[in-house]
This record gives sequence, C-alpha cells and structure tokens, in this order.
Amino acid sequence: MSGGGSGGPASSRDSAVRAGRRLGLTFKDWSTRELVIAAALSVAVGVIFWGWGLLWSSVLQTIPFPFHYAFVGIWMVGGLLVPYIVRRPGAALMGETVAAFVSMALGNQWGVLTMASGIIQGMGAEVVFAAFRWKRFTGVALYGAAALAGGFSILLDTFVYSYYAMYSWGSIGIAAILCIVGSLILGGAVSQLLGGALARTGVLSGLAISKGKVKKI
Amino acid sequence: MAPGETVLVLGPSGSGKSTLTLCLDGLIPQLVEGEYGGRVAIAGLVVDESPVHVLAQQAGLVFQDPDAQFCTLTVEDEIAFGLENLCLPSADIENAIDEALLSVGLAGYRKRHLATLSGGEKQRVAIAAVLAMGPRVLVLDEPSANLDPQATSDLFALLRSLAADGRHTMVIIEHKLDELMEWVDTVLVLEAGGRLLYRGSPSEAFYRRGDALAEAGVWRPQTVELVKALREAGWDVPGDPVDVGTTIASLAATPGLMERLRMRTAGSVSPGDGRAKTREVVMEATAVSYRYRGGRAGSVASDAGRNALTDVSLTLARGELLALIGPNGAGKSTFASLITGVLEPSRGKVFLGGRDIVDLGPSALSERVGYVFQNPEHQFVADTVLGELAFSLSPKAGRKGVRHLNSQQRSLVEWWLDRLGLLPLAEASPFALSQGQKRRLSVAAMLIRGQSVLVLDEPTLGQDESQAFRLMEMTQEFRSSGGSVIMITHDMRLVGEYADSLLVLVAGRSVYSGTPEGFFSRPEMVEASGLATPALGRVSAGLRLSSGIPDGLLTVGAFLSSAGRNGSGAS
Amino acid sequence: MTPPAPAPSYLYRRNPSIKLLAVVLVALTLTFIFDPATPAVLFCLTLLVGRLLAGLSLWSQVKPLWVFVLAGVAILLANIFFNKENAVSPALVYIGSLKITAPALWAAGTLWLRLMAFALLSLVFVKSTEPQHLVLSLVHQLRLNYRVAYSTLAGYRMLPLFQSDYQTIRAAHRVRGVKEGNGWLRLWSRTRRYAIPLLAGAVRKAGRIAVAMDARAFGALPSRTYRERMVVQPADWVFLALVLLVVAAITAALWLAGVARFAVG
Ligand SMILES: Nc1ncnc2c1ncn2[C@@H]1O[C@H](COP(=O)(O)OP(=O)(O)OP(=O)(O)O)[C@@H](O)[C@H]1O
Ligand SMILES: Nc1ncnc2c1ncn2[C@@H]1O[C@H](COP(=O)(O)OP(=O)(O)OP(=O)(O)O)[C@@H](O)[C@H]1O
Ligand SMILES: [Mg+2]
Ligand SMILES: [Mg+2]
Repeated sequence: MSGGGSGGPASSRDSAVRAGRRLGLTFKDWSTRELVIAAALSVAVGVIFWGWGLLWSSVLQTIPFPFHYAFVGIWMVGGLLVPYIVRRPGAALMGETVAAFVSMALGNQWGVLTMASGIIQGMGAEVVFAAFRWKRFTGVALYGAAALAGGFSILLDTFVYSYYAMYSWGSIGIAAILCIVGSLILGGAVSQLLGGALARTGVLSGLAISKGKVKKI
Repeated sequence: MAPGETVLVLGPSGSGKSTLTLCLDGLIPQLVEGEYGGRVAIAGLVVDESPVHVLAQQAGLVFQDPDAQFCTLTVEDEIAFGLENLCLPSADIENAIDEALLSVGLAGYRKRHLATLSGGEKQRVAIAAVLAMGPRVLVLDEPSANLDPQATSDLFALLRSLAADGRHTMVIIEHKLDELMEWVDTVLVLEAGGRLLYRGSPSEAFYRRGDALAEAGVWRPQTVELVKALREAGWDVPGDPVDVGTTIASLAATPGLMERLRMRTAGSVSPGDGRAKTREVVMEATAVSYRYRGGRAGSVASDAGRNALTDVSLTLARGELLALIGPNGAGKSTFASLITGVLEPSRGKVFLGGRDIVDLGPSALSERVGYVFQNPEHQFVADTVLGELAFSLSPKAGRKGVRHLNSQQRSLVEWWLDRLGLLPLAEASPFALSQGQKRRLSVAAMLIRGQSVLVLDEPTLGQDESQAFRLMEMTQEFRSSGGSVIMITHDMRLVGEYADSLLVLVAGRSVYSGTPEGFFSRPEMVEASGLATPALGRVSAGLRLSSGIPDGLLTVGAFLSSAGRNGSGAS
Repeated sequence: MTPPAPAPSYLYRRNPSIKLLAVVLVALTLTFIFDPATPAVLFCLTLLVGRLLAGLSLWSQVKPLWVFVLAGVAILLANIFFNKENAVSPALVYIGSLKITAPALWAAGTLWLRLMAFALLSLVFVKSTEPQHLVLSLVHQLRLNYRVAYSTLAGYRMLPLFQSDYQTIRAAHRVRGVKEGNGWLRLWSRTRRYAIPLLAGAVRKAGRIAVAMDARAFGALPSRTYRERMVVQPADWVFLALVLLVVAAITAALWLAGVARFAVG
C-alpha cells in the first residue's frame, strides 16, 4: 500500500476506494446496458435459486447429508452466468449477490443468511476471474470460478450451520468434494450452455459474449 | 426542423426509425457502438460533441413499451430520476414533478406505484418524466403501440395539446396514422436501408409519392387510400385530403358521388370480400365466466375478487373471421385462453364441433384449435426455424432434427419455409428473426398442423404495412380452405377490413355481438366501450350527417362497391 | 415483489441499512447458539415485533413459512439416521430397530427452529422495507455505487414480469402440443425450453430500459443529487441498541436457566 495509511476515517476510506479501484470494482467501464442486463439476468437467476430452494427443502432433503451436497451447484450460476455473458470486473459478485437477495426476498428458509452465502460464493468466483485479470471468462477461468465458489460455500455452511457439531470431518470432506464437483457441472457447465444458447438467440449482441472476445479493460 | 414543428417519421420495419431517435439524443454515437457519419445538431448543439447530459435536456425520448422505460417503483421517483441525474437540488425537483404531472393531466398520481397504472397512464408518466427535464424536442417512438384505442386517442390528444403550445418540437414515429393527420406538419419517410425517401407535407407525401411509399411498405392513411381508389374509379375528388375532416368535405364536393351513394339503401351495402355465406357452426361458447384465483402480481388492486369474464357467449362459423375487441384488461386474452383449453371456465361450456372441449382432452384439442399468443417468442420450443415447423408435425423431429420426419412432412416444412421467405434462415434461431418474421413463423407453426380454428392475439402489433398484409394474407388463405379465425386486436382498421363479425368485451362482459357495421354505426356505443371508429367509419358517419348517405361503410371496398364507377352506371 | 406495509409503521420508518444490520446480527447470534429454545423464543419475539411494530398480521407472517415444515421433517430424518452422536448416545426410544437419541432430536430441533427464525426475520425485514428506500440507503449509508444500485432496482422491477411470463410460456407451450415430461433426464431440456424465452425477453427489455435511462442522462455526470436522502437518525441507533440488548438479555437468561448452549462450547 502506498502513502501513509496512518488512520483517520477519511484516509482509511480513501485507501478502501483505492483498493476497490485496484480490484477493478468501480464499475467505471460498464455501460448502462451491461449493468441493467446483468441486473435483469441476476434477478432471473434469483428466481431459479428460490425455486431450487423449495426443491432442496423438500425432495432433495430426503438424500442424506454429505450426498445432497452434489446438488448445491445450481446456486453458483449467478456468479458464473452473469460474468460469462457480460465479462466485466465485478460481474460475478454482483450477479451472485443480487440473485441471493432476490431468492431471500421471495422468501426462503435461510433468510438473510442467503445473502451471506451469495456474497461468499460471488467472492469465490470473482477472485478467480480477478486472478485472470478479468481477461478470461471461459474455460479454465469459468470452471475455476465454479470450483472456488463451491469451495467457499461449503466452508461457510460448515460453520454457519454447525456441521462440525453433528457430522464427522470425513463426511464433511465428502460433502466438500461433492459440492465442488456439483458446482463444476450444475454451475459451470449449465452457465456455459445457457449463456451459449442465449447468445445464439441474438439478444446478447453488443455484449462481450457475442463478440467472442473480451473487451479492452 | 423548425421550433414548434411536428414531424411524423414513417418507414418500413428495420428502416432505421428507432436508430434515428437515438441519434437525435446523442446516444448514438456516444453510447451505442457503431459507425456514425453526418451531423445532427439540436438547438445549435452538435450531438457528437456535446455531453449527453446537456443533450438530454434538449431532447426527450419516449418509447413503445411503457414498462421498459421505467427504472424506479413510484411515479414521483420516476420523474425525479432524470432531474437527479442532472444534479438538480431537491426543492427544484419537487416543483418540477408537480408541474410535469399537471401538464400530462395526472395531477393526483404522485405517490402511485407504477405497477398499479394502466398502460395509457404509464405512457403519460413516461412523457412527464422527460417533460420535467425541459426538452425542446420530444421524440416519441411508437408511443401508442401497446394501448387500446381509447388510451391511444387520449394520448394523441395530449400530444396535440403539447404541440399546440408551440414550445416543443415533436418527432413522432407511429403506425396509426389516421388520427395524427390532422395536426402533423411534416412527414419524413425512410426506406429500407435507412435512406431518406421523402420529406415534406403530408398531403404531398401521400398523393405525389404514394406509390413509392406503398412499395416501401409504409402505412398510409385509409382516407388517402379511399380518395385514390375513388379517383381510379373515375370520380373527380377535389383537393388532397389526408385527415377525416377534409376528406368528408372533399367527398361531399365530388360531383355526383353523394347522389350515387344516397341511391343505395343501407340494406344493399354488400359485405366485404370473403365473408362467410353459410353458417356451419364450428365453435360455440355458452355463457362462460372466469375468475383468476388470487391477484396477478403487480396488478391493479381493484382487480382482486372480480370476474375476469362474466357470461360471455360466442358462435363461430366455418370460414368466419371474428374480431374480439375491447379496452386493455377487458378479458380478451382470458377468453382466448378459455376457448383454447388453456384455462377451464369457472362457469359455462365451450363446444368444438358439438363436443365439449373438456371431454376432448388437451392433445385432441391442440390438434383442432391453434392459438398464437401475443408474444410469438413465448411459443418457440425449438432451436431453429426449421425445428419450429418440424415440431408441429412431430415433437420428436423438433427436438432431435428433421431426419425424424417422413418425406411428405419434410416437403411440407420446406414448402412453408419457402412461403415465409425463411428458407435461407432455416438453421437460424427463431429468436433472431425480425418481429414480422417471428409473427409469421408462429402462425405458420400453428397452421401447418391443419387445425380448423385459429386464435390470434394481436397479430399485427408493431408491424409495417407489408408485413401485416402478408400475415393477413396467410389467414385469408386459411379461411378460404375452410378455417375459422378469431382475432384479438386493437387495430380498428383491421377490424373494418377483415372481420365478418365482432364480439366486444368491456370489463369482462360482452356488450356487442354482430356485424362490424352494426357496431360502428352507433357512435355512442363505440364511445361507451372505450373504442374508436376506424377512420372510414368516421368519414361515412360524417357524410351521413352532412349529405344523408346510408351509414356503415367501413372499408375502401365497401365505399367502392356502393359508389361504383363514375359514368358507367350503377351495377 | 412484496408490497410494503400499508401504513408507515415504526419498522417501516427505520433506516433500511440499520434494519438490515440488526437482522444480520440477530441471525449471526443464532448461528452460535445450539439449542432449540433460543431460536424458538426469538421466533416468537420476531412474530410479535412484526405484528406490533410493522403492522403485519400473524397469519401473513406464518403463512409463507409453512412450506418449511417439510424441511423440518427432512432435518429430523437426517439427524435420526446420520447424527454422529447416535452411535455413542443411549437411545431415548426405539422405533422398530431405529435408535432415536436425544442429541439427534436436539440437533434437529435446533436447526429447524433456527431456519424458521432466519426465514421470519428476513420476511419481516422485506415486508417492512420499501425497495427504493433500501437501494437509496445502500447508496447513502453503505456507499454502494449508485449506477449499480439503480440498475439493480431496474432489474428488480422485472420480477413480477418473470412470474407472469413463466405462466404464459407454459400455457403457450402446451398449446403447441408440448408434453410435460417428468423425470431427471427431461429436466435440462425443459429448463432450457423455459429459460431461453424468459431470459431472452428479460435481456431485450433490460436493453430498452438502459436506453431509456441513458436518454435521461443516467451516469452522465460524476455524481447525482437525490430528491430524498436516507439518513440515520438517533432513533435508528436506539432501535439497533434495543434489538441487541433484548437478544443479549434473552440469551443470557436462557443460559442462566441452563437452557441455552453455545455451539463452540
Ligand atoms: N443495437 C443494434 N446493433 C446492430 N444493429 C442494430 C441495432 N439496433 C438496430 N439495428 C439494425 O438497424 C436497422 C434499423 O433498425 P431500427 O430499429 O432503427 O428500425 P425501425 O425502423 O425502428 O423498425 P421498427 O418499425 O421495426 O421499429 C435494422 O436493420 C436493425 O437490425
Ligand atoms: N394470470 C392472471 N392472474 C390474475 N389476474 C389476471 C391474470 N391474467 C389477467 N388477469 C386480469 O384479468 C383481466 C382480463 O385480462 P386479459 O389479459 O384477459 O385482458 P385483455 O383484454 O387481453 O387486455 P389487453 O388488451 O391489455 O391484452 C384483467 O383485469 C387482468 O388484470
Ligand atoms: Mg423501431
Ligand atoms: Mg391481451
């Protein structure tokens, strides 16, 4: 960090802003169209999250503990589909957080904790895209983001829902593996397929996914 | 453009009308990517050099879909939005909101949620939101496309009063010409490819360049078509009238025409082309009612607990085209869902060929009745244009490829593709088609199954004349092969030209059922139902008052067959 | 979209960011507590707060939650079968050869009541907050980028559209003779059949909204003014302090009574 981070509220805010800018999350280079489309997609994904939550708390709960974690992956879609389409810094965090908010607002069993999951999962994906300096949103980057989002999410669940108090670390380990593999398939692959199918309809013209390359940042 | 001028922009679909509106506001070239050339200046500001926020105060844009231009939840927030972006202090904003609402006639609406407004009210709020920013130029891109006839005339009346005070230059893109003709100063016509075809006064546009416009697929006012047809039939119509008032005067002044029309009695008005002669009933609905369970999300609160439909009956004959009309929210789409088995009536029954459709079962029903929804995209189920048609013949082929079709089915699909002009696009995504092509594809995907009844929900919405004509041609052909059509529409011109019979719904009740002529010759009834008489109906009513001719002439064809050729004697 | 409480109630008037903070803190407290009684008490307390301070009827608070009764059954079964304490704990009862232990019931009750409390807390929050106010507050108090905030609000407006479009698309597909196949294999094709028209429509509409926003100079200047500004009043801090105090008092009382247990303990 440069300069004196010597405290005082103003300077600490400045450094936060600077850090944000270094992370590229100032949304400067997003066009309004990209922002609103990202938001609309996130809201739509939020509805899917909510529906999956209903399925989860009924049908999927009959599958015993570590194994139902294979189906968690769908909840990574917001942090993967939106950046896959828009390809901008911050897309993963925004997509996943907004989707989580919507599924909470529609009423689900996890309430505000959905937001915590959303932010954590979104950060997991964002970190990977950031590691690629937001120049790559396909292939390794997309699936890497899926894996880390899944990993972060099981970590959070373990502590928030006190799994360690009930289950053996072995079964928690299985849950983690299933969760990551599930995120690759239900999160990564589903996002890639949906994004591709949507791009073929022509509505995404002008967005990065349809240019086949990432825009200059 | 001079200050205070009102310009109407015409052109076929895809000719660049909407693109032009974006140029006027500087969104092109500043925010939308593409190649830009030429020069646009507003109030002395060149758009590609002035900042967007300065331009936004000069030109205000209003769009087609009332819902797709709001980004907040209440009326006051929406109007404040633009002013906040301009960094106005909040006291000024409060005043501007009140002023803008007053000028669009929505004074008491400040605190209302946008979701509780009707379509017409939403458009007024959209206009207020741009008026509040104090623009010199008001640009409206098909502002009435989603409105019912009454809301449309209210909107046009508002625009007219805004134009009359001379403070705003107005650029309007519209397909509904007849009502605008009275107060538009200039017409600007674009042709396919975006080149300027014509610029000048309306009467000159439609009379001197009429053929070029027709060729380009541009809508023309019905009155103009009438005058031209009469001239071709040898009548010497004076002047170049474009609006209803001047047309009445011109026709009344045409030597010999009024005498000829008076000779005909109302009874001898021959029905339009292709009307059903025999009545072999194919579909019958007896006093059906329907009530939605729970309110629709975001709908007007007063909807809750009332019937969407009450005791509506209908008989549909073989080969008949029945128009289902009524204001927004009258229950037209609901009724269409009931007779196609999408919804089941709470009370009453629907019969198809004498059998209750409930007994018929969904798959047998879908083979006999086709239903084309308001938005064609909602009905696409396959990945390609070809797949859409193939799916109708065999769902498996639609999903897995045309190799699952037999040779006869395959040639049928190809024949249809050729007819739709979609052969080169067979492998394209149906979503990537133009609006008109989507519409025709979704109709074709129904017709290819050989159903006997087709229900169309707003088939010509937002289409240019040639697209609408091609679509109506398809339905006419379907009728001549014995099919019956029920068409929901807000386009009274279409009703006048094509419908054999009319069912008018208002607030879920049937208020009229019979011939179009019978309905439109009763202006008090038309007005009470919140509908509007087509332009020619108004011409005919005006002539009845001034010259005593029989009423009920709604189409060019009806006028012509009444008038006959000049000099050749009555036939 | 849930309409806000009809009259401006006490909760409705609280600053949304502070309210959100309060909800998050209560939820966090609950995650460290491992007994059924504490979440149960907090659940009832939230019901009461919703009734008295937000003007929500009890029924309107409970009705959306009853689907989660099913979740309770599932959690119970999961614990009866898989709780790791089952092996080392004595049985309370046997149902057939099934051993039911106290730790299993304890864990199931805790987790279920915790979920119910989470869900209710959020419900009361959502129902007592105007979305516009929340967005403004996120911008004003939490310094969220205003372009993101307003774009998100524009996207959020489309929520009812998704619900009605989904119904329409289902009906439209049925008319075309699509058979609703059940089963997992069909799930993907069915999802895509619905998702593509829904998303395509949403993207197109979003694009139009964006043009309308741009045309009104959205984001053209580095900053913007606000007609109404969300502020944090002393009353909001008092509210937050009260919430924390009450939760702490209840937890302490239950702990002294020997009921409350902590997860890490
Ligand atoms: N964002 C865009 N990117 C690329 N091409 C575009 C874009 N918007 C429009 N076009 C193309 O520009 C041409 C003009 O389109 P425009 O929307 O201006 O037509 P229009 O006259 O308004 O048609 P309609 O009557 O159907 O509204 C069309 O060929 C269209 O496909
Ligand atoms: N799914 C639904 N749930 C609840 N109410 C509905 C639903 N669909 C329609 N309604 C209500 O039923 C009434 C009739 O609606 P309908 O869509 O049939 O009108 P319409 O005549 O087709 O209008 P438009 O011209 O705007 O298409 C309206 O008051 C509408 O709000
Ligand atoms: Mg257009
Ligand atoms: Mg309708």
